[in-house]
Amino acid sequence: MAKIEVSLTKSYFRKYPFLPDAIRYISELGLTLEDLSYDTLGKEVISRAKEIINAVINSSPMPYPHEDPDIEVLSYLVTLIVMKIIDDRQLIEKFTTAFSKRCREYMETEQKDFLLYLATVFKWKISLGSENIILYFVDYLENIPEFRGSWKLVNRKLSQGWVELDRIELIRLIESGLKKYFSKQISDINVSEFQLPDPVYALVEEISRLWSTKLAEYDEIRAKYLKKDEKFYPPCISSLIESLKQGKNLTHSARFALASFLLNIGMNVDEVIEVFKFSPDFREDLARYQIEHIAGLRGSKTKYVTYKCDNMRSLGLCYWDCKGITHPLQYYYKAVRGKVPHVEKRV
Amino acid sequence: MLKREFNLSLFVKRLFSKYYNSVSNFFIPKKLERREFGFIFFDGELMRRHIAFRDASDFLSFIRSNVPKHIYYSSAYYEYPDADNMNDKGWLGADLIFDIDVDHIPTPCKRYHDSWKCLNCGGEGTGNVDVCPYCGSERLRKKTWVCTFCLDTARKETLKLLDFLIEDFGFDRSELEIFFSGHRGFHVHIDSDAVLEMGQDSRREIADYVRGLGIDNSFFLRKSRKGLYRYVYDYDSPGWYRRLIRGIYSFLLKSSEDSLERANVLTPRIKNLLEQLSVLGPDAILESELSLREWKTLMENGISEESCIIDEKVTIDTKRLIRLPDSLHGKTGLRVAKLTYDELENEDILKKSIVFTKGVMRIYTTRIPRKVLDYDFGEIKSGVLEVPMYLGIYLLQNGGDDISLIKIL
Repeated sequence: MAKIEVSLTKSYFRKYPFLPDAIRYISELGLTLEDLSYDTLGKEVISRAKEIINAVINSSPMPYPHEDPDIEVLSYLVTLIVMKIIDDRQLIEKFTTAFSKRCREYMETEQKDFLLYLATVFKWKISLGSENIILYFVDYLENIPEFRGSWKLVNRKLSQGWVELDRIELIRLIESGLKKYFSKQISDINVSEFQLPDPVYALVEEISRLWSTKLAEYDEIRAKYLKKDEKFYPPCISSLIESLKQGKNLTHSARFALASFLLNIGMNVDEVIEVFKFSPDFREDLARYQIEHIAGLRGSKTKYVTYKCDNMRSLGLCYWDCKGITHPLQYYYKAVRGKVPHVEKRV
Repeated sequence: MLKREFNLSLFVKRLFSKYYNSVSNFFIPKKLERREFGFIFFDGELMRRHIAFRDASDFLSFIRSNVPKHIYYSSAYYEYPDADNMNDKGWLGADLIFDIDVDHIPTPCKRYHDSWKCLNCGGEGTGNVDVCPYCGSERLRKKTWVCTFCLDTARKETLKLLDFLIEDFGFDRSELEIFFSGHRGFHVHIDSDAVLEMGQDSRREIADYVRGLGIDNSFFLRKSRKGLYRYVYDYDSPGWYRRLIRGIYSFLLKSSEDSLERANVLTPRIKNLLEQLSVLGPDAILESELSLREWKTLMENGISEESCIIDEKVTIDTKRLIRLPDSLHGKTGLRVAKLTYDELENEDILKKSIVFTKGVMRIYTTRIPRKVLDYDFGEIKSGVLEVPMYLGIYLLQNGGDDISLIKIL
């Protein structure tokens, strides 16, 4: 494979402040966290980082990159530090999603060479095929947004380990790659609260406060979802309950899917046992043991989540296409909010 | 039958001990110290797992002194392979594994050697069923056996899998490790750093790929005229685009007009396609203009021709324990033998996996399966039989009350 080389100008660092070259450039300037915090440059960096994180928390559009690449790269680094210290999985997820989306918009205007270069930053095996771009199947599978339709591997041209892609698809995959890259950058940061200069520490405190308020709002909304009404269940789950009511015996994976779904929408163990009483070989002691296990009350103490749609399909438990749905619980939450997904029976 | 109490389990354990204490070049998994091991011993049915070893000699001396009945190891590598809780193990990666088991493949020989009894209603029968045909219960006690026909079926399925792995996924033959499972199938391990860190989703997608799951005809067909469709790609296209043409071709070749008629497939256009097939070969399929329904039928059949029946759970699960190569299968006494591609294709699998070649057993049976391993008992249903040691061990261990030992000769 030919080595892909691009010469990056500083203007790229504005749009892509996470690039190793950008970070190297900044570290060569010899700035420390300490310097940053007190002069005007520092103030601007901090307020810029705050702007980015605020947009993340409020799900509003990401601000445009700062005109000055130095400030953009530095504020990106401060953002990562704040994420690392707050260390909240949900917040990090929101940040990496929003920031990779921002990058995607810029990628759409880039040359192919630059896109290939980005892929090599993640160490993907990528190359130019005769007409299209080709990517190694492992990198492809680890980054596709969903496992169905045109992304599904059976529907792609796969030869000798290489999957053919067009430019738009590559950009979508890089967006996923970026998300993981940002998470990795955050987890690789080595900084403790005690090293933080006061202004950065103040920012961490402010963001923590904002985020807890947001989380409390989420909890309130979530509580509203827990209505346990059967009419909001996705077709796969309704059909499992129907089978049970008809006295059919469910397979192990079907039982797991049903029990974990019901537990996740807020039923307690006894309520779930009630549903399983229809089962032809029902034994309360066994059922209780298994359901408690799924609820995370036994064994590994992990509360299990229902299989996602892709898995339901592979296991032969799903015969429907629910528009825009990738997880049975997602269907439920949407339906409860009054947005019942469009369902088509697959033939 | 024997005057003094004969302890089968102890006898087999002694044979296993002799094997483990004399075998040379025993298979040692890569990065053994990062793997979890699990054992079932001769004096208990429960698996003891979360066991780890410092190095190969540590491991070998363990199995030589403890002589397990079954030996398993993790396809995964862990930071702490002996941690009791899976979440504390620190998963580092896992080999990519495929399991082909004749249990999942319908074969005609099953009615000659398999039987079941329903624990719910008491019904019984021969062959293999998943639920009791009388009461629908899944609580079945199954008695299953393996014969050379089973192995041959599994072998063909494995060759299909290897074709996917080599042609579509681009693995080199040297990266594919093939093992006879010691019972009813084969395992394929992929020894490549490229796949180690792959998550469960990607592995499921690979499983779906070889199973031909999720093929969407809208990518394979395009509208031609008058509501008819043509196939999109040609015979040189990679992946399923090529396989599907090949599958449809072999489906049509082996189907008679009668069988197509019975399956409600034989429309005038398909009839025409059949005629063209003998002139043009697979090109006839590419030239065809058919209705969506006709294509769907052909594609479904083409998929089942080309797809490979694997136990997808084994491929998807990145924390699974699998049988250790070179170990003995506690039920059959057969060795989990490593095979090269050529050996899988051409050689007698049993020959490579029978360890206990010496000795003969005289047994008494009230009911014997017709075909077991490479033996065909024909019309013999019961009585006194003399069988080679390796067969005797399997019969006694798997036969329950139906088979007992008279004498070791």
